[in-house]
Amino acid sequence: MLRLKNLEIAGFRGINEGIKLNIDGKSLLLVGENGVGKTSVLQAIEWGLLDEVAFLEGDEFKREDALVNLFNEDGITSVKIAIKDEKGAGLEIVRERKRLSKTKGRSSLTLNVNGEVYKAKSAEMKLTEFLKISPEDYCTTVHLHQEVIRALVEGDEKDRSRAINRILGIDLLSNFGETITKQLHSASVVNRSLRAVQGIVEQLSIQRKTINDTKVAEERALESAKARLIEKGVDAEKLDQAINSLLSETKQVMDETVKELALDELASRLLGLEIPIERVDKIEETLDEIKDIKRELASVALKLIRKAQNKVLELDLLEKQHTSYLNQLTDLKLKDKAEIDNQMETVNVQLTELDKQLKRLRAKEGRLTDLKEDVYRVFNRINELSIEVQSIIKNYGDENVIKQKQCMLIEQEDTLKQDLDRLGVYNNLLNLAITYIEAAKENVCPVCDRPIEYGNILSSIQRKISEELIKHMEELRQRLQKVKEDKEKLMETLKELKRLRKALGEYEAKLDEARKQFYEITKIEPIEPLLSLIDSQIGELRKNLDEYGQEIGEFNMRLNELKRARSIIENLTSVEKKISEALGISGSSAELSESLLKGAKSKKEELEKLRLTYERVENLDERINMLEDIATLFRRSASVNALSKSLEEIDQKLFIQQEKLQKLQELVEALTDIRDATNSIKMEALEDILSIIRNDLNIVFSRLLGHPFFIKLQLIPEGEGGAHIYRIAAQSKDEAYTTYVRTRFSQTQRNLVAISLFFAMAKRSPAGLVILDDPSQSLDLEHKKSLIEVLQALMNEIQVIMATQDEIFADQMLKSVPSEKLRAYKLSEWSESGPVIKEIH
Amino acid sequence: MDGVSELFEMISVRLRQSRHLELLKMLIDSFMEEGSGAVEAKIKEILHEIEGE
Repeated sequence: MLRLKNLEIAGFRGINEGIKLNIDGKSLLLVGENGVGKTSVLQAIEWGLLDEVAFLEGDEFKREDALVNLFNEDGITSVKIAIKDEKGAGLEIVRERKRLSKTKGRSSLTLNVNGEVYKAKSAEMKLTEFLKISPEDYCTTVHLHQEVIRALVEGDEKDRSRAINRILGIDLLSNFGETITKQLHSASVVNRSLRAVQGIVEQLSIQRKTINDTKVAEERALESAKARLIEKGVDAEKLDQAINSLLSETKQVMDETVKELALDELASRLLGLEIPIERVDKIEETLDEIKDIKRELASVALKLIRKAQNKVLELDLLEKQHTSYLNQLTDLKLKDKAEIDNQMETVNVQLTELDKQLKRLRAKEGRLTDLKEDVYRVFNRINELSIEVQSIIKNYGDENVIKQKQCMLIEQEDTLKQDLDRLGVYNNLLNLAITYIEAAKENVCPVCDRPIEYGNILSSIQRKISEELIKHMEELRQRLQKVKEDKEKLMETLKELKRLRKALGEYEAKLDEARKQFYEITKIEPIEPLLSLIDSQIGELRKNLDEYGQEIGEFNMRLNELKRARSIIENLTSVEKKISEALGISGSSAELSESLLKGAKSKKEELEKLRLTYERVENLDERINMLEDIATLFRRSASVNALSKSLEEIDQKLFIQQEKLQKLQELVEALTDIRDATNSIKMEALEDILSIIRNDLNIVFSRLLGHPFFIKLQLIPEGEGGAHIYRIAAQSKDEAYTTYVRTRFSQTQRNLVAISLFFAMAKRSPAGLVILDDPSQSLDLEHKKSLIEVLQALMNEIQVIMATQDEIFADQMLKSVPSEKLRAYKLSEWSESGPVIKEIH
Repeated sequence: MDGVSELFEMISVRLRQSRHLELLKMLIDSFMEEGSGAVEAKIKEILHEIEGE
């Protein structure tokens, strides 16, 4: 258990002029505003004990000296610490360092142990032995830096996890593991290199396979080219001789053909043909030239063959046409053109006459046919009218009968009219009689002297008589009406009969007119029956028309024959003209025929000769193919050699890249091995520490938090690899409820987590000294009180050194802890010389 | 105890392959000397050597 007695600091960070703090083994409280030098005092203790200060790291600290005070004129920092252990052994540490260009750098240490002075390395060793703590343990169990609390309170989950690692003392392992894990990330430089080399190896392998496949194919082609040549009787071992012999034979055939076809230009090209077998490209050039000459020869020969074939065909055709025309003229027995023309004129005159006759007859036939139709129509109408007349006569009688009936009806009408008049008179008389009786009547019966009712009797008589009269008159009127109707109907019938008789008369007149027309057309007397007469005349006419038609047909046939003969003579003349042109001769038809036969024979012989020449040229292909096979052999052989060379080169490259790949894979394997080893150790260490401190941790946390329900603190590591994330959870006593601190609690609780963890770890420390930098930074008043209570209890056991800018916390602390146990200094008014320090407790 | 040798001793016993010890030593030296940036630099150096070949 260590206890700091005195502390002297000069030229260290925020403190320039020397300050001296008489702590006297009590706990120490430094109060002051931010930036006044409180942390510098705590860091001076750390540096004095360990020769290093946590958190002063990074690039900036490599560029300047952050330890020696900036305004110190001597450029020297000096820290003197007087310590006593529980056995009363005294120790005085004097650590000094001159200003450097960087923060890190060995200082000079002088150690006085109970009057015995140690320096340099021996002093460092002695100090380590005395303190019994490593720099890592110091950060974990002695000094709770404000950066750690801030990281837990304000940082993200990674910062919090790093802070916890630091408190738990596994930060080095964790950081190393994290660093190695980062190197194995898929986007890391190692993996990028590995993928790049894998890509190159793959690409080279594909290239190698392609080249090898091509080489194998070329080798096969080479073998088959050799086999082909052997098959054709070429000695594969004596290719020079074979080439020369084939070339010489080819040239000879070409020479002969060139001369035969008189192709002087090709002759000069043939002269320069040589095959240098040592150069494959040259052989191919020569072969191309040979093939070109051969193609040209074949093309010229083919053109000449086609020309000769056309000539032969032309002469054959002319001969056939000439013979055919001559034979046709012989068959027609017409050879003179003038005679043909004469005959044609006569036939034409006869045809014109026949045509006129024919037209006349056709006109006559037309008129008779029309007349026949008219007569037929008139006959039909006369029949219809006669039937109607007969029907009327049958129903009503002829005109005389109808007139008699009319007279009878007129008499009946008169009689009925008279009857009606008479009845009218009767009715008038009746009315007069009633009127008279009305005037002369007796009102009282002369017998019984009772009044007589005349009115009823008279009206009854009158009604009775009137009814009878009216009934009779009505019957008479009806009969009269019937008579009138019958009379009118008879009049209508008579009119209709007259109309029909008139129409019949008109149609009879038409028939007479038709008879006249018939006579006019045929000059034959019209006898009955007229229709049969017309039909027989039409039949006669048609017969005549057929005869004329036949005659015209015969004349037309003759005319056509004459025309054909004239056309044959014209064609013959044209063919003979063509024969004269084709053969360059002239003469009679017989002479031309003979010349034609001779010319055709000569052309056929010429064609046969050209065909043989073409065949000979085409047969050169066999030799050219053999030469090509030999050239292919040479080319394949050269290609195989080139591919073998490429294969060797690519194999060499592949070997180099595969070696690289193997080394990279080994590197990845080694890094994986190191990462796994580091992480497994870290996990074990973590579990060990957590199991050791869990009890103390929960006690401190519960006291500080003062929560009625959640009283346990849990640290749950998550994730794999070096960078573990800690989930910080609070748990109920019976462990039935768990909640994450961050989700349910404020920054205060996170501050308390840092302090709880630190106190739990500090309890394990052999140093018995606790240094706290701004421990209340996020606490509310209640929790500040809890913290003071915990610290007060702690001060009974060990020395607690604190720095705070929190005046409330400081006041509470000073009120709670007596001056026997706590000494307090106020730091203020910082200047280039450092702060003003005043003892306040 | 020296931080380098302590870390090396802790991890080395857990390595599956003893041939990885040399690399572990190199990486821990770099890490303790200059931090994680130095480890990456060291690995880049190794990669350079491999690629340079």
